[in-house]
Amino acid sequence: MKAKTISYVALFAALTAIGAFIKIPIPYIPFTLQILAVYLAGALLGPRLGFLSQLCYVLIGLIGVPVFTDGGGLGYVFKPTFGYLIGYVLGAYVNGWLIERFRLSSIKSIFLANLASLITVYLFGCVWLYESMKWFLQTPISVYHTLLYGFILPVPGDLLLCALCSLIIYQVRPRIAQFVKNKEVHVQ
Amino acid sequence: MNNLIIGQYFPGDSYLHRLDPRSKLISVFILVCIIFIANSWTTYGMLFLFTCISVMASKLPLRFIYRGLKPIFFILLFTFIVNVLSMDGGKPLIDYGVIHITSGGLVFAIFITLRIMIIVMITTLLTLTTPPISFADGIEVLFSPLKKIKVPVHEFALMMSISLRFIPTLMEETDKIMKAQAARGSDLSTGPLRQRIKAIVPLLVPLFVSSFKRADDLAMAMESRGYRGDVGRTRLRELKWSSCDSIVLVLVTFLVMALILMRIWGI
Repeated sequence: MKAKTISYVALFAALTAIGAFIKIPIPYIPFTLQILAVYLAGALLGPRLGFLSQLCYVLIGLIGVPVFTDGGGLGYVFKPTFGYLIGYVLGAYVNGWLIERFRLSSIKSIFLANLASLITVYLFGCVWLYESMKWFLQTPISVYHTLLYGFILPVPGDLLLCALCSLIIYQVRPRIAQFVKNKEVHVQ
Repeated sequence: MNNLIIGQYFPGDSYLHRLDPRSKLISVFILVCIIFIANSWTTYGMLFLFTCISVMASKLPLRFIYRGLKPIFFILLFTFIVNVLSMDGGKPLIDYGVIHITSGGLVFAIFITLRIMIIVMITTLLTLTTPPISFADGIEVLFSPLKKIKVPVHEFALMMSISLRFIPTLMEETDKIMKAQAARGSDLSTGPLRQRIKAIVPLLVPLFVSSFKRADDLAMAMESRGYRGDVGRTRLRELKWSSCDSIVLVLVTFLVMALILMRIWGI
């Protein structure tokens, strides 16, 4: 792997952490820019490196650096919200894979790819929420409540970010076309 | 800001601080797995005792452990109450209207709460006594067999270290940009959601430009210093496996065997 590839992947992992740091005050739910970094990592680095960058972010949080929305530490694995973090890792891959495989270049198709990665994130988030309440805390909650707190309340802001991000990717990606070639980062 | 580079690490000089990150990682992984085997007072008691001894061996002020438990306090309480009320079995203790509390339910609730507490205490202890950088080194060594199937383990550990260095810098940068844009009248806290999201753009553009430049500079610096990957690399901090590490692993193995035997015999 080239030095440039390594430093760019590390950068996107750091940007995800920064995303958790920029909080936009919205009533009831914490709304952060984290998911923006997930879309961007997948789209700009490609599936494999995007996946690596998000994995790097999650591991940094797990070894105790407070980069998640409420702190960090290994115990986070047993939190009901850990599923979203697994979703980030796979969501970045999904986004990158879709964009690369089908050579998406219009805003609309990039938006749909982002949407697919959004759904991946929430799918893992909700399943983990439901299962960890059931098995780890032995306190089952209903599917309705899982969907309400795990999906319906937090999703509107993320949908808007999805649209914003497809605009960013549409503008930025052609300019760094060599960027994602051959599984290495090349940028002039 | 310093808080970010060192993570939760609390410097000290105890047995736990001196242990190799590899042995700590392995032991914690095993302990977290076997906790699900425990199902009686003796087994939970043993695990709890083990955890308390480790806390004492770490010589950390107790308030740090407490700080690790604080964020999950609400979850603990919630789990305890729901389990007490919903689980049946044993003698009824309180039977008042909708509230049924049985001895079996109470015991089960205590077990579940203890389980979560032990897991969080052990993992907090690990992150409190290990600096993130040596964590990354430990992960690299432990996963190095994966290099055979072409998993970029070395590169990944390096990415983690670099990103650890990037995060505080970028945070400072973001803070500066946010203040600069606020001085120009950008407002994230009022107006409809759409407008707030639009207000993010003048925040992101300078952040991206400066951080990409930083990543470029770093790559250039690495190349000019002759970075060529894993092969033949020497280290400033070498990991050392001492006899203490072997003793800890043996102890953990004994604990695992004891727990499995107790589960089989039903003690």
